[in-house]
Amino acid sequence: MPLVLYDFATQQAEVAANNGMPRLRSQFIRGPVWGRTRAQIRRSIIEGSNPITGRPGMTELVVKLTDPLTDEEKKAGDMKRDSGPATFTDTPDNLQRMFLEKRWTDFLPVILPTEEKVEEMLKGTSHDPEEALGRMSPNSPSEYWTYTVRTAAINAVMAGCRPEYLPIILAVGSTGMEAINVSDSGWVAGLVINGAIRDEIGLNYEIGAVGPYALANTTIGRAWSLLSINGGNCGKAGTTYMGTVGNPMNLINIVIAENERDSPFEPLSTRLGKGYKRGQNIVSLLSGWGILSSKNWKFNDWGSPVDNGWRKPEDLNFPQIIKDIINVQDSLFGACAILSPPIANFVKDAGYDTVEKFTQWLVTPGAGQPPHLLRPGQITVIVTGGSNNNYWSMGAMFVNTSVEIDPWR
Amino acid sequence: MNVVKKNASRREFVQGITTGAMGLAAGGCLGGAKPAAAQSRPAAQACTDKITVLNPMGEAPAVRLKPQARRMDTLDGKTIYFMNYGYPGSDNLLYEAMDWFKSNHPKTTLEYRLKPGGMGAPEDPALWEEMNQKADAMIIGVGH
Repeated sequence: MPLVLYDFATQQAEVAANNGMPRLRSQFIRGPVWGRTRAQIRRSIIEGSNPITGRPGMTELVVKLTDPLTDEEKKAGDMKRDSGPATFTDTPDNLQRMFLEKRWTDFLPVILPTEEKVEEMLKGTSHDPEEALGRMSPNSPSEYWTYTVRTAAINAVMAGCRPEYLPIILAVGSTGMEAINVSDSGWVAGLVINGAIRDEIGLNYEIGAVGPYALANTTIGRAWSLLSINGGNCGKAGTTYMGTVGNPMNLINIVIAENERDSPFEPLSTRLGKGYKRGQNIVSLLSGWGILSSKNWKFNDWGSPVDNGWRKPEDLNFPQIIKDIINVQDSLFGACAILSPPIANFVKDAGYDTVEKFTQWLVTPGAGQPPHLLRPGQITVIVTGGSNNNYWSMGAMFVNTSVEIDPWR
Repeated sequence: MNVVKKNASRREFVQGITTGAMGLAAGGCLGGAKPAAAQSRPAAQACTDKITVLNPMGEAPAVRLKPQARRMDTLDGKTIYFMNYGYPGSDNLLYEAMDWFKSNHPKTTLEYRLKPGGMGAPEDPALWEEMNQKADAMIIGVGH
């Protein structure tokens, strides 16, 4: 008998049904449990009621343990599941409404995937549309859905992609990694794209590189989320998405084309230990809490004329500021630094001519300080953006996997 | 050199919007594809034409229904395992639940187990075998 927070009742029902027990008896309680003392738990849960039924919780639990099973609860055999018809015919307005009601969108209008548009999209790859591309789950214990090259192309159309973006979406889809994880902690996903394809398809790696300021960056990220929603059953709030406050980055994810031209370091793809060469088209998939401007942390305070004046240039020790920020971050997902080219050059000029040297120094505790992150590999350094000012972003994102793009052309 | 490249990049970003495969500018309706005759009509009228679109869904796996575990007719003389699945706070919840059972069902034997490795770890076959052999019921928490 599972004890489950009542906020998860809908999710619990769906997960149980997907695992062959559509009416699994469960006892629902009021949470959160984490952070409460035993006395608080006793008052609110043990002496309290099931928030759904209003009945005394522990008495109800005993009833569920002892009442004979109904015929429905004893059922065995196969349960048919159906994704619905292959096509739908209606007016565009009605179809937009239907896609929204079926929760096939990200709540923004989509490009309706007509057969013509999907065929046009499929010109972006030589792969058979019916080829099995991958399997995806909102979370590893949940069920996996499968999808084909055509499924990915349909969702790429919906996102507004051009056919030349399709190989990246197929490469990402082939990994099975979801863009929208179920976690109540509000995970964020990201892509880092290296290689010549960045210029071929117009990925922005200059001013605004990490934001929605170019068609390729924006729609590739959106296509990954839509493929996750429709191909992997992710992102359904209350069942396959439980982020307590949610995260707007789930809409288009963090899509980063590295600024290899202006970076003083080797591209991320060549630093992953997988033998990738500079110029090779690689997409790396990230997971974590997301990123924020480094100005979020007091360590990066530049001062101001109304305080004690601007900090002097010699006091702006950017490597140390990065280290100070990392040392106050949670360690679960490690740390990532999205450096603009000027900041990356500050790091290089400070004596760290490779990312490896820099990250080794970052994980070395200062005198009298306890160790925080233990391995250089827990820190991901990416260089992108413009050179118009000394800004950069920090956060917690790690490279989950990386994959070649060209085999999906 | 950089200025020329940057300008070229900017043109490319905009070009995707106006001449991309999706034809946003030409369609009026976000559906876009319409019969040739409809393309010369005003956008509002074209929006009433029906189009056919493809289902974007992946395929869910088949489900094999399983009967739930047989229920006990009484708790007296029975053994209930309380399994802490490892989420923070589960220990305190289960300790309190066990205290309630001790007070209200004193003839029931209670066993507490912590899932080895915590919630992210694989299931422990030895623990499940022990419960199969010795438990009349199992309470697991907390689902969060």
